[in-house]
Amino acid sequence: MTETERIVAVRGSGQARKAGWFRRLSGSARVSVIAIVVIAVAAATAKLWWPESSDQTNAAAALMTPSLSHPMGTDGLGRDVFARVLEGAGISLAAGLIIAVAAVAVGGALAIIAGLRPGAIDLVIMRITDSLLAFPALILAIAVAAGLGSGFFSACVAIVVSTFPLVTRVVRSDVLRIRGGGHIQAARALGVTPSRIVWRHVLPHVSSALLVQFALVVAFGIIALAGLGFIGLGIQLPTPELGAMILDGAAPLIGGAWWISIFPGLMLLAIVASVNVIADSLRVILDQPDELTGAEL
Amino acid sequence: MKQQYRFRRVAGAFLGVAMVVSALVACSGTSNTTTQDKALRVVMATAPTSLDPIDQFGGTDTLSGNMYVTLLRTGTKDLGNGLSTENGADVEGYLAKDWKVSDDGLTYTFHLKPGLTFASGTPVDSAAVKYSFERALDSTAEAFITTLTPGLIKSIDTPDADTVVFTLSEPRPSVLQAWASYSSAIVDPSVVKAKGAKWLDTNEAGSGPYELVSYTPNRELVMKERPGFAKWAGWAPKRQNVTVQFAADDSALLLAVKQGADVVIGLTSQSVASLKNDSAVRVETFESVRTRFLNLAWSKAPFSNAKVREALTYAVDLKAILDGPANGDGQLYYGPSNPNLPFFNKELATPITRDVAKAEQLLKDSGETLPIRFTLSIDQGAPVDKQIAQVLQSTLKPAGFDIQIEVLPTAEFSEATYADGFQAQIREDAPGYADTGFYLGYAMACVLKPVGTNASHMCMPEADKLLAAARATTDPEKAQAKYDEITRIWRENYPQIPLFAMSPAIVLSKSVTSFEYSYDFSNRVTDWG
Repeated sequence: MTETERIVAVRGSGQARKAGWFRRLSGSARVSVIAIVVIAVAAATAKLWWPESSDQTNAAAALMTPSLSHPMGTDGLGRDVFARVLEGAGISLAAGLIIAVAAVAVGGALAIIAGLRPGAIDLVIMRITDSLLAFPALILAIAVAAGLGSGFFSACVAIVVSTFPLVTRVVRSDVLRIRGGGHIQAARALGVTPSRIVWRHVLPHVSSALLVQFALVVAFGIIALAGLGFIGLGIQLPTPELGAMILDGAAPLIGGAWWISIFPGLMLLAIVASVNVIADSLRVILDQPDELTGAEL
Repeated sequence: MKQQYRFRRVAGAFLGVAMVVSALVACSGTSNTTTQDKALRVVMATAPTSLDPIDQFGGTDTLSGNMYVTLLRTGTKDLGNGLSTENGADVEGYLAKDWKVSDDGLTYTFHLKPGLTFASGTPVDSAAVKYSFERALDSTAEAFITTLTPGLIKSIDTPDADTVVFTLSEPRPSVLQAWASYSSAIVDPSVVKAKGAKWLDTNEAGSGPYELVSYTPNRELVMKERPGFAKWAGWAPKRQNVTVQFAADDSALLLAVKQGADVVIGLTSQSVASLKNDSAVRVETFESVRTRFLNLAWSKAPFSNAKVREALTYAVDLKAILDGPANGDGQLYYGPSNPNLPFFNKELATPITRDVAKAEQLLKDSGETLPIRFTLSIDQGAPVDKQIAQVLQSTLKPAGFDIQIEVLPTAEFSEATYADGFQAQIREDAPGYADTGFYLGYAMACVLKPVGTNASHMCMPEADKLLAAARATTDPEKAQAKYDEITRIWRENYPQIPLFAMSPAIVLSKSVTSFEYSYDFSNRVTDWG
């Protein structure tokens, strides 16, 4: 098989993968995808079909146990916990995606630059990455968030700072492996510009790693955002962020009002577990031998 | 080998004897333990910032007051059922056995009760009193002991070891209450000189009913009865040993209740409400001089505009706050001072009735762009304020206010309060002693030394003149008339919003049969047991 034929074969198999990606997921991953879609749609459309507001306080309705009118009860200010959990789930999912996009973009870009530019640039990028990886991700996120101040933007920045180094480390190793591949050398010999080499010949071959990292960062981002919310460094009041809701419900939980923190906790568990299962399944699917080099990805 | 066996036999015998002795000691200890011997376990939400009496600014800062004596102490009022409360209007002798005020109100002569000594052996005499007052006058505590009148104490003389004479620059009847506060605690001059003032932040140099056993800032403070104090005073603390732990988190405080803490202070009203069916504890609420305010910064937009302040006053749903986050533990009013402070006039300080339509009209007339956007700062260490802020945000929206909530760490929040660092803030406040003049002197007066002005930057010069006159007079009727006029002027200006006068709830275990509530929560541990 010639080089060109092999490239065509790889592209062809990639298209086949794209066409049947859902069927290739494990059973539990398919259920997880459906769960995430259902949660996302429910959260996005909640205001259209659920009559209760997430931020309307009502002293007369405080601490009501779950009922038909309030399936997840009400909190200490009389707000509907179901409406807040739905909105919180939407915020968590959106935040997870934003964080993952940013972390993969930053981490991936640095990985490609470091991988294709051996020498000083690679050294500087990787030592910075290593120094950031020396800290546990959540501790680093807490430190950065504490420095930037509380709020949605600073929480997202903090989590991106703590997650992009891992993306860089993993993706760079892929870039290093394909850097010496015949197709890239051929492209260089033909005078193809570096940016075109990146777009046409590097990115397609690191996309699997990026996709797996993306899914993992989504899961970590959601749980880290909840963690920051729990210690008061996340999204600010009265936005119903799941971690902050769990914190708000801690004292009532001891006093017997279990529903205020249990339901946000269950929603957080459902989202993070689903994303993790999807990420795991993607990793298994994409963890195939690279058809160009014959090496494991 | 033989030696090894012998060693094992000796070690075994020693261990056995030790276990028997330990068991006997433990049993005898158990059988002889009285309630007084059992350590009182107190859990509080707020930790002291310092144990030095001159650094006490209310709250649990006054905890160290239990380790010092003062010339005077405030009286108590029996509430029955083992409960009592501090009576701020009344003072009684403590280190002073009696005192005399000159006819012109300028000279105060105190005769000390002899026989009390510091741990160092130094007598607690007139020299120690003079040293302690002069030390306080050189610190931020000056505001307390001079009732916000710099230069009030002209001289302190000590004709003999048991007599102290204070000469004032102007008559100030409420100075006795100021000298009953813990800012005027008597410290051991020899220890302070030897160890330095900083040492007192985490140690004590007093002669009060308790002595400090150990102190870990923000975690735990342990005290035990001071030997010799009871003989001198003629009374002893209810419990010989007291352990005070600090837990800022509401859930941690609630857990402390469940784990059998004797006294828990600082729970949110809603957590307190969750304990109403708990047979192991009793919840007691006390009237206090504490108020929760919505402070509005006059110094900056939008609250430099009087119409916006008035609109906000009419738009706030105070009942939703009192019934919700405050769980009904409080009282609504609208006036310059708390209902439990002297000279409060109930008829003049009636709460403002909510009127959203009027608020909307006032906002239109204000000339400001709608909606009115402002940042509401709250203290991270006050969970109830988070709830109040969310109620305000929700209930003020229909009237045309768009609130951004800003949660600040406690230190940053406190710093912002007197540094013009907020647009609006929710804050709990109470005077160090129950004196209306002192309270309005820092909460309302245009000029407040040394920080510049009051927290809200409010300024009503006419009210200031009346305040000065009210503080100087010894005639209660004349003072009442002045304070009534101040209340009218204050209400016309809509300077800030008292959200509710607080009735703090204290959770007591069933084993606690005696408790005295004090305005600062913690300066009467001697009467808890």
